[in-house]
Amino acid sequence: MATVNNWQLKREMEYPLEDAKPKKQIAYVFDTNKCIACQTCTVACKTTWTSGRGEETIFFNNVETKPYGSYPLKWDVNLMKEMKDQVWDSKTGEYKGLTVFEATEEDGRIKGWRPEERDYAFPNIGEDEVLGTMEKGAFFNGIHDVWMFYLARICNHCSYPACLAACPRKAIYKREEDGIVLIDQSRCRGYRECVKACPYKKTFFNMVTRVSEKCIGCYPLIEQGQQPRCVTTCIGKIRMQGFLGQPDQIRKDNPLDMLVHVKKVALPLYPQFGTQPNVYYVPPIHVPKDFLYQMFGPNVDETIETYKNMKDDKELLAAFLLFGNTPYIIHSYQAFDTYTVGYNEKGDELVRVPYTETPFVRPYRDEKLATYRHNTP
Amino acid sequence: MFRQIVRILPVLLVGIALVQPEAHAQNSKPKSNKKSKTNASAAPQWDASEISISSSRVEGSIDVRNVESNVWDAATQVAVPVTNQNMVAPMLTEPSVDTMYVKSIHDSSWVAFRLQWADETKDVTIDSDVFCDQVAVQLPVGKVDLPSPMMGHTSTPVHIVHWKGVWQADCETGFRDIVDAYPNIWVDYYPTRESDLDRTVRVFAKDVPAEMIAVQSPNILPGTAAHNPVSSIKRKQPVEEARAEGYGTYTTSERQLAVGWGSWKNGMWTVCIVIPINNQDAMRPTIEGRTKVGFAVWNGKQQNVGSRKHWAQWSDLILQP
Ligand code: SF4
Ligand code: SF4
Repeated sequence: MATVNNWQLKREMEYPLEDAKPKKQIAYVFDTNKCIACQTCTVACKTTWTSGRGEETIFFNNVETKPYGSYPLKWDVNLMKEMKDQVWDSKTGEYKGLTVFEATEEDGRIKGWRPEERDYAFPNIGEDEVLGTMEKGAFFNGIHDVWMFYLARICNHCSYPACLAACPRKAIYKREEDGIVLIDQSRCRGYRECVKACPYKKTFFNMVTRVSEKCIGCYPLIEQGQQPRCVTTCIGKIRMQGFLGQPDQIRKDNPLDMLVHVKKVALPLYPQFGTQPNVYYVPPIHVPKDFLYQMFGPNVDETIETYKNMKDDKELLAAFLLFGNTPYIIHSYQAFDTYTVGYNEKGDELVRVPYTETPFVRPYRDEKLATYRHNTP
Repeated sequence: MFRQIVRILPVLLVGIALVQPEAHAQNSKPKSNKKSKTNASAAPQWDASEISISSSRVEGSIDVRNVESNVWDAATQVAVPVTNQNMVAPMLTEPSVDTMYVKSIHDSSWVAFRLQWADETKDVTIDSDVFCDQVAVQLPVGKVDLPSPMMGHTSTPVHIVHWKGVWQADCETGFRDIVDAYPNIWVDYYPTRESDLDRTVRVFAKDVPAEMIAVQSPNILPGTAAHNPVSSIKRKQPVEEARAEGYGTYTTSERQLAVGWGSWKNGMWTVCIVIPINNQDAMRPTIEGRTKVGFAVWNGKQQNVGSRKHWAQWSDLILQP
């Protein structure tokens, strides 16, 4: 065991391997408030990477409805039940519980569980189901009595991947150039130790090739300076992929650093697991807080406050408006008076987005085609 | 096919203490003893073999696939104790096999092992939560220092011949595809079906054209496209030869010469593994006179896989002249 620093937990923790930080760390921000569960991301990923035999129930990307949805079945509930108290120090914000590396199994392995084949059979379970019942005379007071939200999930390309640490063959590696975590398809022997260890259940066993597979972060696109499929196809424009700096090397013109480190408007999913995941979520604003603390840690209140005040914070607004507006990876951005601009690594302009779309009203009659324009229901 | 024996030469009995009476092993399945949870008593002393396996010299030929051939009748059966691997993580905490019954014969060019162990269930399929039965024979490579019985070490490699139930099933009934596991499966679309518009025709993994896997669309069967031997869809033998230089270093050998076959009957596996006796290729074990042999066994039903296995210390292997 080595001792590493997990900034999401505000403390050091034990990890089976030495810390080896990549040159760049792939990271994402997902705004849960904008997701409509259209599953376009899921299908884009599926048709790109997992349409072969043995991959029928493998979804590198899935979107589940919380609180009832989960794929594989009860992936988060099962692990949280096995872990001891997951408590945070209310003053310092430090995580006081044990991570999956510290709360080990009987045989000294990373705390985890292996889903049964059946657990992969219901990717849509609980979809659009709400929690709670509507009382007579109920009215909205900021938090919904009856609630649900959509949680889009991919591999977190964790800074301290549990999958990687669990592999006895060292068939899993984290790329130095971008921090993407990959399973070497020629080296894996299908032991499924990673399937058991990944807290997010984002490594999968392919029963035809008899080895495990996982999200590859669309690395062929990343290598060409483009964002992954699930990001660029997102209908709700809820996603942005970029590279996240270490907390002590923040670049304020990096939209991801701005969202995660400076404004702290996006939070890791179940940070208490300890893998330092790199998909950051803007929590849903109308969901009971207790549920959100459990899922995103203790800083939910501030995060939602910041998010709600976004319209008055040009730097923040400028970063959010770049979501889903270019297929290329934005390395830096600048907020101008009336628009925001995203740039690539070389500093070339990629996209320019106005803060307010100019309304355009088309005349009722189209003179060129000599016809009237009207909405046909 | 394994060519051997016509005449069985006299056999010298060794390792008397652990020899099972012939009649007992043939007629009834070996009894399971009390299961030990720790292997404290079996701390590895690499050269302290207490068990000798005498390999009788035979002439003529046998069919390796006939595991009940009477060619084995004259060989002495040795009971080899196995314990759960609890030295390195991931460990096997719950043992379910305690003894392997081993016989060996040779014809100066090949050495054959017949391995038997009690297993109530025949596990020859795999799925996300399904594991198969396996067995392996391990031999030291090189003559100077004896490697660690736990998969060798950097300077002292070992040669492993590994048999798996799922490979046995592949060889017997053809490569196991998704429709074999889920006969009622319906899939809207496989990219490999693009060219055949009749979607009632089922295309199996083994029918996917090689160039499609390798060049056109390597992500259809990624493991296969990456030439992972585990993902081979054209398997001819249920055994695989490999080299290891310590934990986690198991590497499939380029030259695959060993043959094997396994059969499960009445709660007992019988697996034959036949390995060339080589004395030229430095990458392979040299099996002559007195050498060492090790074994490992996995119970699929108990989710044994990888290092979650039962293993045996080195035994002496004596090739009778
Ligand atoms: S989310 Fe799971 S599969 Fe992805 S890097 Fe983290 S531990 Fe590994
Ligand atoms: S494409 Fe975007 S909006 Fe649609 S489900 Fe996926 S994340 Fe949600």
